[in-house]
This record gives sequence, C-alpha cells and structure tokens, in this order.
Amino acid sequence: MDYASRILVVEDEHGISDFIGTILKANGYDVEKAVNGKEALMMIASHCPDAVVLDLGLPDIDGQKIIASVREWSSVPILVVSARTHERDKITAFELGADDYITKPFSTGELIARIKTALRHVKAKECALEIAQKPRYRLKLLTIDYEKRRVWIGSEDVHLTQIEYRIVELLSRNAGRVMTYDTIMKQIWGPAVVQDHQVLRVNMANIRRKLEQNPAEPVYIRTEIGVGYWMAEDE
Amino acid sequence: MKKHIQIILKDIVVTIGILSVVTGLCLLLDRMDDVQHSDAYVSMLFILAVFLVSRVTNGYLFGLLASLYGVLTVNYFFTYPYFEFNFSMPGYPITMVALVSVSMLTSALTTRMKRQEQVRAEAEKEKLRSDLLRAISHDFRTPLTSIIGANAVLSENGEALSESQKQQLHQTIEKEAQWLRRIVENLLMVTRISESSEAKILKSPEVVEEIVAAAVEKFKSRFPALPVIVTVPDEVVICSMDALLMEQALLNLLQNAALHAKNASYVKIAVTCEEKNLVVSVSDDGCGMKPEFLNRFRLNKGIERDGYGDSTRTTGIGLTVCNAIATAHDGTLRLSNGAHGGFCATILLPLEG
Repeated sequence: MDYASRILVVEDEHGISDFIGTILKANGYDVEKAVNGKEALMMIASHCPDAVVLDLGLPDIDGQKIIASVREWSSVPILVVSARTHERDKITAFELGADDYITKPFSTGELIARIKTALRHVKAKECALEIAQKPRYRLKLLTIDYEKRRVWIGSEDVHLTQIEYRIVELLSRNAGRVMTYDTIMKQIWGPAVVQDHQVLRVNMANIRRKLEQNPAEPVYIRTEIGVGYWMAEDE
Repeated sequence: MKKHIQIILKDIVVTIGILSVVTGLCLLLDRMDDVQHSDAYVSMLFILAVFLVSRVTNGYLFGLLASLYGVLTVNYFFTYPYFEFNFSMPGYPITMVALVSVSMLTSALTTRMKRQEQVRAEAEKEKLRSDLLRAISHDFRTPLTSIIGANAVLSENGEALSESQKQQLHQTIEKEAQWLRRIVENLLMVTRISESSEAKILKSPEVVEEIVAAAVEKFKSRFPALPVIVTVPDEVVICSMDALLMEQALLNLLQNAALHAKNASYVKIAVTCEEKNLVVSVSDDGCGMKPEFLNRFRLNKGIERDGYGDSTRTTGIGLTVCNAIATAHDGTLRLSNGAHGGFCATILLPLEG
C-alpha cells in the first residue's frame, strides 16, 4: 500500500466511534472522527477521506440527508452503520447513493471486510476508466461473458432469456453492492414501469433455478430482504 | 373509513328491516282483529322493535329514530282517529317518553357491553405484551450480570489471571452479548407487529425461498457448526407475508435447534404446499422438547421459564414471538416431538386464492 487510506468515522456515540477507530487503526487505516452532521459535511469537503463510515442517527442532521448532500458533488464510498433495521431506511440509503448498509450490532471482521470492498470499488472504477469495462465476471463456477452475452456454470452453457441475462449483467456489473428492486426495475423495464416488483421476483426465481444448485441456498445472487438483490464481487 | 360506512349501512338495513316487519305485523293483526281495535299489543310490539333496534345497532341514533317512528306510526295507524295524526290524546306524552326511554337505556347498555368486550380484547393483547416484557426484562438481567461481572474481573484482576481464564471470560462476554442480541431482535419484531394499526401486519407477496434463504444465511453465520438441510419445491412458491417478520420467525426456530436441541446432528428446514397452506417446518434430531413445555404451549399458556430458578434458560421468547408472528399472519405454529426423537416446529400460512 503506497499510502494509508483515510476513513472518516461519523458517529455521535463515543463508545462506538472509539472501538471502530481502534479497529481501523489496527488494520492500517488513518482515522478521522466527526461527532455530528455539520462537522461531517465540513470534513468530507475539506479533508477528502477515501471512505466514510456514517451513523444515521446524528444529533443535528439526519444521516440520510448527509448522504444526499454529499452525493451532489462527491462519489466517496459511504458505508452506513445504523441501528435502524427497517427495510425502508435501507432502501432510502441505497437509493440516495450509499454504498453499503451495516446494521448494529456488527462484528469487527464484517466492518473491515466491507470497508475493503468499498475501497476496492473506487480503485476498480478508476481503472475501468482507463482500460474500458471488464470483459467478464467470474465467481466460483459462474462465468459471465459480457461481449458474447453468454453465461456458463462450469463448462455448461446456461440459457437465460433476454430479460434474465440483463438482470444478471446489471447485478454483476454492480457486484458487491445492493441494487434495490426499484433501481433494477427501472434499469431493465424502463422508468415508466409500475411499482409492482412481482415480475422481477419471478424472473429472479427462474434465474436462480438455472444458476444455483439450491435456490434456497443461493451462492451467486443474494437477497437483501425487502430491499433488493446483490452479487458477490468476482474473483 | 370503508369499514365505517359498511357498519352504518348495515345498521340502516337492520333498522328498516325490524321496523317494517313490526309495522306489517301490526297492520295484519289490526285487520284480523276488526272489532275491538285494541292497541295494547301494538304498543308492546313497537317497544319490542325499539328494544331490538337499540340492541343491535351502534350508538343512540337508530334507537331514537326507531322510537320516533314507533310513536308516529302508532299515532297514525293504530289509534283513533285512524290514518290521521292526533297529538292531543291524553296518553300520548307517556307513550313517547316510554319509547324514548327504552331506546336510550338499551342503547346505553349495549354500548357499554361493546366497550367492555373491546376492553377485554385490549387487555388480552396487553397481557401478551406484558408477559413478553416481563420474560424479557428478566432475561436481560442474567446476561448483563455475567457481562458486567466478567468485565470487572478482567479489568480489576487481569494480571492475576491465566491466559485460558481470560479467554474464558471473553467468551462469556461474547456469548451473553449474542444472547442479548437475539432478545433485542425479537423485541424489535414485537414492536413491528404492534406498530401496524388494526393489529394486522403489512403483507406483500414474497418468494418463499428468498425468505428461507435469508434466515438460513443468518443462521449459518451465527451457528456455523450445525449443518442445515434446506429443501424447497421445484416450482416457485409465492405467499403474502411480512418478509422481515417471517425471516425472524424462521431464524428463531433454527436458533432454537442450535441452542436447545441437545445432540442434534443437523437442522432441516423444508417448504411444502398443502392444499391452501404454505407449510414451513423446521426439524432436528436432537433431544426433543420436554412434554410439559409442549403441553403448556398447546394450552396456550406460552412457554416461559419453568420457575425452577435461572439455571434453565429455556425462555421460549423465540417461540412466543414465532407464535405471535404466525397468528398475525392468520397462520398457526405447531410443535411436536418426532416419533423417533427430535423436535419439529411447523408454521402454516394461508396461501390465498
């Protein structure tokens, strides 16, 4: 690593912010802390951190508003860390542009892994601009060839319908990130689509029957209940 | 709102129905009894009608309207001069007062009865909530004591302890904290049930395998040691439910197997469709549930600690919440011990249509 990534931890509970800070430092990151929304916005603008760990329940500004206002001018990875478990909070955060949503309580291992993923995304994006988009996605037995628009499990050709392929392509190109039902619906069926997610669910069930060994123990495409779908990052 | 209008419509229909029947009956009797024109039974019948209307409708309005109608009808049809209003009769104010009083008193009684029923239903709901709260706050105390204690030992006598002793204390803290986490998760689910108005939850059509997968994934990350067998039908099963609640219910059943089924070598979760029901069963090959707990559950007493002290941590909060979740979905939770050992919990949910 040529320089240590700088992480801004926005959290008003000192107990939590201390332990996150300690863990991050122990893993070789530079840590900065903000205890309220105003401070957070100011520090994101002036210190340009590499990633932001953001609590939603701040004393002055709601975390969701911070995501929205940061996304107006910056694409810095934002990892929400929140005690709010309701799906509508997650959906709002993802649709405003959060990169990840971790519910409290979480394990330190989980937090570090997710921060690494978010930082990798930024790098991948920077590289992608130079070398153009990646030609394929690979995870375990699954291979997606974007140029040929074909999907394999091992050496076996998987026959997906047009719509099914586009869903898989969308999720794999955004691997490691939860795509909400609405976002997927809009991307695949267009912006005028009705608010019914049923058609997406049924398509997903069919995709899983073609890709997964057991659709109730999916390895490739995972569900974030009530929120959306996501694929793990490729290898 | 729609429900409100329906009730009012029903009241109107019932009132008109009762009054028409009584009026018809009186006219019929009046014709048969051509000579005497005794109006004694007429008044009695109308008092009965007013009583009935006040009893079956909501509030005072319909009873009062019925008594007004009764007074006018008796006056017009059944007292001299016939088919003409005459408000100067000597007994008239008395009839009026009597009918209005009957109506008011009956309505008042009925309203009070209905309120009492409502209070009883509320009280039952409240009881569930307070039972749960009591069980939970009791359960909070034990792990908190362990955590505070273990931490104090570590920080005060850290140097005197051996590495393995320290390790053990850390494990205690971790274990107890995880226990608290499970309780808090369930508490949150209870608020989700009572948060939704009308005691019913917000249901949406869900692909069942996704819910099962989510619960299994969480379970695997918490209890990696116990193998899970998952089976779902080949066809896609869609059922209306609150996804997060159902995920929690299944997670609770899986966790119960890991925590309470001694000697279990696996836990199995299976989805099937039976006629009009979705059937999700979670079974294991462990020690089974004590028969007295099963009986308690069947008698709907809830499964609480058995009162023999804190050592038995079979709180049954998980099952209580499971049951509440199933009930809120118009479904049921069934518990049984297998014939060849092991325990099986089954959630049945209506598939609809």
